[in-house]
Amino acid sequence: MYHFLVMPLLYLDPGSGSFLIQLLMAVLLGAGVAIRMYWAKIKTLFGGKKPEPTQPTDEKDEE
Amino acid sequence: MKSSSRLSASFRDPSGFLFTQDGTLYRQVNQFYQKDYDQLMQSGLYERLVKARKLIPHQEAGINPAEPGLAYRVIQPERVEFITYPYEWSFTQLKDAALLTLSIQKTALEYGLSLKDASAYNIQFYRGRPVLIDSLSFEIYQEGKPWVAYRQFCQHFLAPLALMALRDVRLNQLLRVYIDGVPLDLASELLPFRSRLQFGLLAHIHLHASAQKKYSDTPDQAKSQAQGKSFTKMSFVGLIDSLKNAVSGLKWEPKGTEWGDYYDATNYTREAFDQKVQVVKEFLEKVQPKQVWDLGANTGVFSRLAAETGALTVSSDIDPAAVEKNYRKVRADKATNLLPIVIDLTNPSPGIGWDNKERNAFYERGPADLVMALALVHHLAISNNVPLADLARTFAQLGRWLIIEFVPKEDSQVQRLLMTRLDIFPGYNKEGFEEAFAPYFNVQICRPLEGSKRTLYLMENKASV
Repeated sequence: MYHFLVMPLLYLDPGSGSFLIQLLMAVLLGAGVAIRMYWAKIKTLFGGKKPEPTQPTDEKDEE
Repeated sequence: MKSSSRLSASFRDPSGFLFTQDGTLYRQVNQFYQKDYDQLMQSGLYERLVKARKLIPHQEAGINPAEPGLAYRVIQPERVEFITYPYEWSFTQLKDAALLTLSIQKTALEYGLSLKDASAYNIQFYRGRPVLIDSLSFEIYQEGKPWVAYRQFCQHFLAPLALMALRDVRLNQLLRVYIDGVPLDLASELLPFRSRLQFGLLAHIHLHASAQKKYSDTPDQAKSQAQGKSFTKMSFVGLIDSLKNAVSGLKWEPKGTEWGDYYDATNYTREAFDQKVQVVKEFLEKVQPKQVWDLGANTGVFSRLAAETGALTVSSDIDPAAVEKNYRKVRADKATNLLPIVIDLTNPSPGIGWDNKERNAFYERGPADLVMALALVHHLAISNNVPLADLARTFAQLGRWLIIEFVPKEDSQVQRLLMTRLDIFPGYNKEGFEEAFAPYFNVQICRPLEGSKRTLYLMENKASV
């Protein structure tokens, strides 16, 4: 039995190739983002200073 | 009886559309979009983006919708006084617009929203900075799906920026030919090999182009593969960061183009230059314009005189390096009245898109209160053989007032232009100039510039009187 995800009507055609590239990037980059998020914690594991909490979106709005 | 009409560019999105009624611009929000609109307004994202001056503010409007059967709300956005398009922008203008789009997307995710398109035409320069003008561009974020706007971002922003930085700065003009951004296969072919050594460009342009080509025949298979996997929020953020790095890494310096160093090798003595500044100020004081078009403005030295009076000043030049320098100064000074753009007056932006009406021709965005044509006439009349009478007729369609500098053959710049060609311009002199403009304009003030052979005129359009 087929199971389709319900996709909202998109007026913009995203292109199948574009979808797949993003999934590939997710795999390649996912590791990078995770490492960046927890970098400070990783550092302390190796005897660094106390970590400051890092946020994925910590930019100021005025950039 | 109210007259309302939908904007010719506003038809692709079922969420809503722009229309004018009695001269005011409104946006109808359709029922189709109700949940997303409510989320935008109630989640706090609207306030945050408006406060950061990244999104155009709007008010709820009490008027009747243009298409009541579809409508949920009508909103009235603040109006951008002068519209520009990405093929008219300098490198950093396009780059800033790209980074703004990514920044908005990243912020939106914190509020459960996401951009459903990433078109460069959703960004306008307003009060000196890029802003998102399409308030209906947000949709409720559903974790698991890749970014629907990714392809569009790569074509509208990343590809032209890469081409400008790594091949030739003029290549953003491809955006004039390709209404939905530079096709990635074309960008991939045009980019130099060294672009493949940068991870971001390799992935988002070259591999992306290959994937598009490979899967264009098998959409169903690709889609079902895509839907089976998950694209988490963290992956999404990673993608946005990767695009941001790719864009940030692209750099271009405005050196060595024909007019970029104009004022360093200038024809004016110090006294003549200062006098010209004084005369232009005097003319501006007399006219008190609200909107000024400075044509052939180079880096905007004289545009700034207009902007300082409070007028919105469009500062156009053919040279991307000059416009780039102008824009960098606008950013550094946080100037709010100055809008630099790249325009070739012998071939100004035409109307393009569906019915050639989606994007307006440059001359359709008027009228200006005042047009400035300083140190320009000889480039059009001599270098480009435009008859003075044709110049006059074209200028007469642009605005009510005209400040124009006549540069005669005795001037050293014109001598230089005539060095390599036959002088076929018997009518090009002060009398011929005044005669050509007389049918369209009344000369209000005429000032010869001391220390030079040039004359400054303030003219008023006969049609406005």
